[in-house]
Amino acid sequence: MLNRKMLSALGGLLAALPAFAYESSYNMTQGVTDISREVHGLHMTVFWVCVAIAVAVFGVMIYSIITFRKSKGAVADQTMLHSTKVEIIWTVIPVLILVFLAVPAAKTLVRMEDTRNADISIKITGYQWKWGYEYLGTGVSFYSTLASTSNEARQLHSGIDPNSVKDYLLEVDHPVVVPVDAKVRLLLTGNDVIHSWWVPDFAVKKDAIPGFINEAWFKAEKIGHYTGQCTELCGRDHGFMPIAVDVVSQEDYAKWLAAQQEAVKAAAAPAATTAANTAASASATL
Amino acid sequence: MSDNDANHDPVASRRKARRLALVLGLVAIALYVGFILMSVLQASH
Amino acid sequence: MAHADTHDHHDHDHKPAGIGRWLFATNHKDIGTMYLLWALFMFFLGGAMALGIRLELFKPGMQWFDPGFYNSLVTNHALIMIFGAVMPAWVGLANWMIPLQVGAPDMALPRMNNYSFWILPFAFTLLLSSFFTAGGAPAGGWTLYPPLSLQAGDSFPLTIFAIHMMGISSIMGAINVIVTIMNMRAPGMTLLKLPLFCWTWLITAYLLIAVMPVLAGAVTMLLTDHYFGTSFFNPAGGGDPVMFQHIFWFFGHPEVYILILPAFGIVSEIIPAFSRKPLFGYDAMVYATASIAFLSFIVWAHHMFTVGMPLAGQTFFMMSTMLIAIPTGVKVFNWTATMWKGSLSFEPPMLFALAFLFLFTIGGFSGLMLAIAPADFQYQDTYFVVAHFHYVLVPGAVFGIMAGVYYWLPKWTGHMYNMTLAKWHFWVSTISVNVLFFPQHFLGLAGMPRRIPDYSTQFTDWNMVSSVGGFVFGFSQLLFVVLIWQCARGGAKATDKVWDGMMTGLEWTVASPAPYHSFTEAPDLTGVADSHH
Repeated sequence: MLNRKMLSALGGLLAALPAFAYESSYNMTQGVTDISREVHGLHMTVFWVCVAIAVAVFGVMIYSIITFRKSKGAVADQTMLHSTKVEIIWTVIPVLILVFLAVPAAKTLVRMEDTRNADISIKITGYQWKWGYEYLGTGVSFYSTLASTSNEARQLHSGIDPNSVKDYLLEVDHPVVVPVDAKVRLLLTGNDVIHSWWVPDFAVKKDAIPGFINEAWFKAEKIGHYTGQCTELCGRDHGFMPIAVDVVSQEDYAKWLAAQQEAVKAAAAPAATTAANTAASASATL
Repeated sequence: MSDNDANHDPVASRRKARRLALVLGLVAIALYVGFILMSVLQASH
Repeated sequence: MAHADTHDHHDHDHKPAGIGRWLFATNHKDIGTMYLLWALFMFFLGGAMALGIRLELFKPGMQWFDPGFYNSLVTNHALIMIFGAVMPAWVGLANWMIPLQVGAPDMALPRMNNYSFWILPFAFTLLLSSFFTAGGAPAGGWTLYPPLSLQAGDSFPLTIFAIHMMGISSIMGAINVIVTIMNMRAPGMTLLKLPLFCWTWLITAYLLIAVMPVLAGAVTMLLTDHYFGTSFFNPAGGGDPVMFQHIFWFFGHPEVYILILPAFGIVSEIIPAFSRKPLFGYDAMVYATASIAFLSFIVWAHHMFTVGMPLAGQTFFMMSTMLIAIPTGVKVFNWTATMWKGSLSFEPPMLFALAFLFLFTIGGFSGLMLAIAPADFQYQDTYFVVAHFHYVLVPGAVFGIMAGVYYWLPKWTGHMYNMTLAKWHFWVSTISVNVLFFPQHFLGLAGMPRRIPDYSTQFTDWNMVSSVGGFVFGFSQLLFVVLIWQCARGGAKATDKVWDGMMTGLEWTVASPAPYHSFTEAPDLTGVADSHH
């Protein structure tokens, strides 16, 4: 626990140094979950560790290139063949740095894998090329495909300027709706080939593999509209099966779910009538 | 390190080279067959 | 009289005449030359595909290609660059230089050497002919993940057999390298006197023999899944698609080091030569290379953090991957220490070696970031990964090859090349390669997945920058071709030593150009001290 606090404090401190680090067109999003902020903290920590090493190593290289030039009369020290002392130093220091990085990373990993005590569970199925969502235990399920505006614009020689399309390639017809501050467990599988479900703001990326059920979870802390994309090459339209998630208040979620369940019932009722009619006419013919 | 393994006698070292090449080739074939067999076993479980 | 003299001189070389010299080549220099020219040709073919990719990605919207064809470009760009350009270039350099460096008259098995080269044109003809089959060329990525790769049309068996042939070619090349180094060294050329290019290639060759059969096995099983009703990887029949990924990356990660280790060797020779100072920590370099090779067998699943491995597996692969930073760090520190208190000059091979040193290290940093499993969930399959592996492969492996070519070209042709042109090639390539790949880090972090033909509009700016860099980099490689062409045809006479540096290898003791048959009598190095102990 202490380590996690230290890590996020350190990550936050380092991340705060350059203002641009938060600008989303350069850097990883901090996201809207506890885990996503922790992952961002890890990312920034290892980034700054790399920068520090780079400054040191590149500094020595550049110094050597400037100072030890033949054209400036530098004479090579032919006796400098190796030194056990410095070799030990530059093996041990990286080991310490790696331990410093690995411990918090392993802790975050443990938390990411803990899918227990979920409030709701959604089964996600990857299809070529759309996503299927099933809210387990509620009877609600639907497909989510690329919005038609984006789909028209993305055709070869469509003549439509992508900049004129709202959320080009990131908008879907039926976004996933989840309540804020609820632990949402995802069960992922693939119907045909391997897909991968990624929403950067939740720091969730998990493969949807035919014949397997993978688990992941997130707990969004901020109401909003979040998008992501399929991140495993899945064929021709791999680039055109986005993910959109609406995080709404608990009340709005309850309302949405009720409305969906009503729609399911309404759809089932006429279907049942039709089935009965067909059966009746069939027996009449007999 | 001694240089016993270095090339003092060209004919002998070519013969040794051919023998080593044969061994390495067999290792490669064994790995190929072995990996497939391993997968067959894995799949039949 | 003069005529007779010249005749005698030519007779000494016994060069076979005409096309037969190349078709039935058994001379390591001829075969090396063919490998290198083949690699250059493939570099441009794979590069043309890359420019197709960068063209389509220049701005959002689909302007040029069908998404399926775009996927074929991505897939074949990778296969061609890996198996057609970088690996044959290394085998070409090995062919040319290893016999010269160990003091052998030729490679140990010259006829097998011929087969291993001549398989390649057939393999790539098969692969490329798939562009004309029903369903088009393979489009499931070079990683060939099932079930997607099993959806391929008639291209599928062509791809599989092409990969089998490339594998056989590499294994034969690797066997030749190992037996040449193990058995053909001149008297007194002990293993710890070997130039590092030989050492890194020796270790690379063992890696090749260990993993190419694994790839061959994996693609054979794909073939039987597709055509003979087996279900190794096909989930429809109860197969396990993740098993394929494990097998593929058990090959794939050592393969990554196969592409880069010989570059470590070349840089380890060029930096001391132009620092006029022996390599710092020669033994440590050899052990670090061996450690990297060993670790490459136990890190494969870091390519698959998102497949849903058990926690213990993820933790193990995260830790083992991080360990690679240690021997790699030792190498970078040793190169830096070699320059320290040296007497540096900046001939073209040194320039490329220095660019390698800086830019490969950047690729190493992003590699360390990718090793952190929780963060990898955000990086996996985005342009951050694309940026990472292109940094280690282009200014890494490809610059390593170019450094080697610039280092040894005068030894091959007997002529010095145009230094001004070489420096232009260096500076334009080095600047443009960064313009090309550095923004891809930003794209990946900002959320752009890889292997997509079109993207959301917020990614436009960096994609444009990257495409501009790509076109400049691509066309600047024509300077390299012009330079090689000019150098082959003429130029100032190169001395035996070629460079005014600390030239320690045996290759600098023979004439420039190196005689057709070198070391018909083995040089004796018994009792001769090496420069690095």
